[in-house]
Amino acid sequence: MSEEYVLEVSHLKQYFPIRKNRIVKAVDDVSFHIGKGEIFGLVGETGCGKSTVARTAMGMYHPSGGEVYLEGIRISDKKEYRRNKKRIQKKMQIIFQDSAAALDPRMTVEALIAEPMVLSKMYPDKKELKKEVLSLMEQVGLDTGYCDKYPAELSGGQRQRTAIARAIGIRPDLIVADEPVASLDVSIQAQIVNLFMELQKKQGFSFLFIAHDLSLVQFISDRIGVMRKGKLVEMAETEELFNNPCHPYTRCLLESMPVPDPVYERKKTVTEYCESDYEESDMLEEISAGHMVRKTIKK
Amino acid sequence: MSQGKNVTVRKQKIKKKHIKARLAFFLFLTVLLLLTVIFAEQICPYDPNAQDNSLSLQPPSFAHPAGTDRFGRDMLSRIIVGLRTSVASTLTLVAIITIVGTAAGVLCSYFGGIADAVVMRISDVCLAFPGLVFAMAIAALLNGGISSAVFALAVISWPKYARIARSQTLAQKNTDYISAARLAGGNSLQIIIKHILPNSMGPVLVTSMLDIGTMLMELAGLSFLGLGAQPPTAELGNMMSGGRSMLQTYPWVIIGPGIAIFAAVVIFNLLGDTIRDYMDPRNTKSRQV
Repeated sequence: MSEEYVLEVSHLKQYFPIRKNRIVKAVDDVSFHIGKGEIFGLVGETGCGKSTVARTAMGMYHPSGGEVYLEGIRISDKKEYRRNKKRIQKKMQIIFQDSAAALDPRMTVEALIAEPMVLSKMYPDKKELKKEVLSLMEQVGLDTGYCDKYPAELSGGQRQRTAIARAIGIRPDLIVADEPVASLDVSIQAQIVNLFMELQKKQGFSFLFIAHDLSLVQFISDRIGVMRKGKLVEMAETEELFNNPCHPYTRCLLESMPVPDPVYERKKTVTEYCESDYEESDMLEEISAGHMVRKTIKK
Repeated sequence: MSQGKNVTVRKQKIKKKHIKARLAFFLFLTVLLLLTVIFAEQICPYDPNAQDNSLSLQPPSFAHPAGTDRFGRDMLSRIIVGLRTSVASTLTLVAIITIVGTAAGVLCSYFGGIADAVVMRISDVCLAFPGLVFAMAIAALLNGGISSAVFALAVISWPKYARIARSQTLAQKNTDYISAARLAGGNSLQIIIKHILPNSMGPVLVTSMLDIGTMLMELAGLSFLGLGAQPPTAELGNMMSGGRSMLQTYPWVIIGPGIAIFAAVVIFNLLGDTIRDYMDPRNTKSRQV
């Protein structure tokens, strides 16, 4: 356990029982760490366990195995989590994918943004709280006139901005963004991603950024982990991963990224990753500094 | 023909747009009724309990607009005071079952587990009995009086609210905004008060508005059967019960309280109906205005 990591996840396992004698291995032996001020991107197909990793890391689920450390606090331990609950909640905030579901429909924007600060009693003075809310709204590019609006009256982008303002209000060290832009259209996606990067630069948050869109993750992340079927198959610095993808699944993902060239796109053939073609090793191996991959052999 | 069609279209339009006006009208009637109830003593032309045997069983006249009863008591005064007893105990009853039922439903479904199963089975038991019969049994066991009737009806009526509140809470329990509030540092109490209750009160309140009329009837029914308010307390149910044998000879003794019950029940029911229509999300027009 190194002190310089904000979040360290080691050998995390999360199994869910479904009916009798059957379990789903949503997350199976995932290890990674996020340094201070680092943006770690987690990509993978739908249902591969990205969100489960995020939720377990947040302490929403109790993991079936493995450890999660947040700045030295072992939050995978129920007792330790409960003892340090207030501290953990101030260090870590989550942004959900569906902002419409993540905001209470009966609260105004102002109340929503203020809620975490009220709950952690950061600003006992009401005037100060209001001032802080307004400044947060400005920071995320939300017109202060939206104070008294309800989530249903906002557009998707505005709702996501509200969710972001809410998350950064208590100045956490780590923000877990669970597909924060998946429900937005492309131009708004760009705005939100730019907002993330701006905030990150200004305030030095660390991010666990979850997405299924590789081009987006390439743009924002310092390091990337690729997940498939609950397992981490490859993890490397962004540039290294894009220049030298070692796992066939990563290569498939990279190939499937659309290129803004219709001629090329028309000719392009995307090979589908077929699991049975490969024999995969159980361990991540480090092939160069910081580049971990699950070794595969073509049958 | 075409003219006739036009007329029907117009009628429908008027109907649709008048939800707000209807709401205002029934609210006005309700307020009127409540004012009557609150200022019952000031409005009463006579002392409702003053007996005067020389005036017994007088038909309605200018001096006694609703006639007098067997003991020469002014019926109008007794109806007004009786209305107060009935309406006040009904509102108390509805408040009790709404609060108890909602609290039980929300807490059970929020925390789940054994408590949830136990409370829900108890509510099943309460729902399985025919309501009024069960209430009669409970009221008979207690020492009588209007408070025991209220208690008896509360015991049989809370499960309905517990069920509604429970289903509302279950639907919300795993939503992202509850998770977000919990991760932001909210404890269970804060989450229930700030998120779950405001989001589940709509259906509960509409049900309780609609229930006021029903409960008024049931309370009057218990009193009529002699299990509620005891004479000489003026209460609409037991006034009707007292005049029961005189229906053919001195009808005003029973018709007066009957009309009072009828009017109160109709006003509360129509108000409840209108509020339900008004709150119906499909009825967007009334909200935009």
